[in-house]
Amino acid sequence: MTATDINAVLVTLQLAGATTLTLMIIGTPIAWWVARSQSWLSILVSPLISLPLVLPPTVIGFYLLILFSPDQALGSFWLQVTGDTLAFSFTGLLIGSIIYSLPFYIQPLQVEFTNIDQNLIEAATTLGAGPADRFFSLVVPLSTRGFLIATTLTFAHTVGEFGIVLMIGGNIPGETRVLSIALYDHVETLQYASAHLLAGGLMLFSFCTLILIHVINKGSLTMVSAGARNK
Amino acid sequence: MRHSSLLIVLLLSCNPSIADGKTRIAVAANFKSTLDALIRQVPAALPEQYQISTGSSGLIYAQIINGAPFDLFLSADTERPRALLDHNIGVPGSYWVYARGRLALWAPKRTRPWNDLFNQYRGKLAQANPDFAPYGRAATQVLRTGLFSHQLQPVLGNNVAQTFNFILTGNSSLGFVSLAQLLDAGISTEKYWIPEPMLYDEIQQSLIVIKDTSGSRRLIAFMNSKAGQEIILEHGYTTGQLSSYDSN
Repeated sequence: MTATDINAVLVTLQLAGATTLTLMIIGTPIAWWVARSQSWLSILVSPLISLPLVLPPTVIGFYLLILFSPDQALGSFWLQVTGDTLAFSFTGLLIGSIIYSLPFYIQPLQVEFTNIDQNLIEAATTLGAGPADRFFSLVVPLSTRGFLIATTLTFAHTVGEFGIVLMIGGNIPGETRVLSIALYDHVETLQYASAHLLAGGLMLFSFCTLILIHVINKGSLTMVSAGARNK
Repeated sequence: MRHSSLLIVLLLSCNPSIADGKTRIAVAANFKSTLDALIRQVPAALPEQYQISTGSSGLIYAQIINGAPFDLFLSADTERPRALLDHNIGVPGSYWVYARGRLALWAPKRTRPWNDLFNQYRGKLAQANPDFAPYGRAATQVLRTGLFSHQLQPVLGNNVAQTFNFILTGNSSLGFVSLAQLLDAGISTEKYWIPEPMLYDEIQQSLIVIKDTSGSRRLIAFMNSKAGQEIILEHGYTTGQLSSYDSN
């Protein structure tokens, strides 16, 4: 593997890691709210979160390219604060990846949060646990499987990102040149041996990820069926 | 059983290329609008007879080599059509450099004189990828002449069309595109600068016929004619030798 390809692997891992971390921080409260809220607003927010599942990445890439432009409010604000454009930067890719992977983080957690027995939470409240305590000592342990699946899926999905990066990345080595772009470049320059290496690696990685998710799901299923047998 | 074979017959008859001898053209994105202008005027052929697909030359090449059903390939370079011939794909005598592209530096918000811009500008510069896009390679060659006083950060478009979009949307304030795009978009001449063609290797755009059709022959014959050559010139390209492909 060439030095530039190794560089692309590192950028990809950084992007996937940063996306997963950011989503853990901002996505978790959103998932909780969507799962528990009775508000009419959640009827709108839930489909909005799922939009990246059905939209072509070019739609998101196109809108981001427009939004990031220094002619627009967001782009010009960013340029004034940081002195750099959002397009063609790691931060720009991170914003794109967060939007793109949002449903992959929220949905598994939302399912998990919805299934938590309301009585348990009320019991904890009666025993004097505050909201933060209830969340970290009760909800988080009960939702381990949801967190595992959400973070694994988010990470893997970001590694597989292509369309948005192609549109807003600018192919800068060490900053926005991710694996899928490096692979595309190899195909364009007819370097099929290097292309095979990256494509095969991504294939293997994705397959292993899906096995992992399957095992996590199955693990909890056996626990459920074991529990049912014990009754 | 009878129903399914009927369905297959119906589907086959719906395929226009089988029904009425359409010519399927794969064209490099930068030449698309010129090709549109050309096929509107090909004598004895209707524009509807041509089915145009666009993409980058490298991607089209990869598709053709894997069996994509194109009849004619207008590439933005000379390497891909030649590589196809090396793989025994295409009609050998049909290889032809149909146009030569011209590079231009576009600065839509330019207020200072060009020389000041070259001396003072710092930051990002959009260009096509020099590893595989001909306009990108030319841009890198011009930059290497020391055009700008400061080292600039290149922002790479996948092809010259994407590079144009980076600048058009304002995300990049400066970049190398093709003259053809600027003419197409009606950009005012004071916003772009055309480097001397000697500063970079000629951007030769070549074509090959993949499968001989009457549509390809008519189109190539028209591109060889005075009227066809004028359309190519008007769109910001220069022309060279005429095709020796037998147009009878």
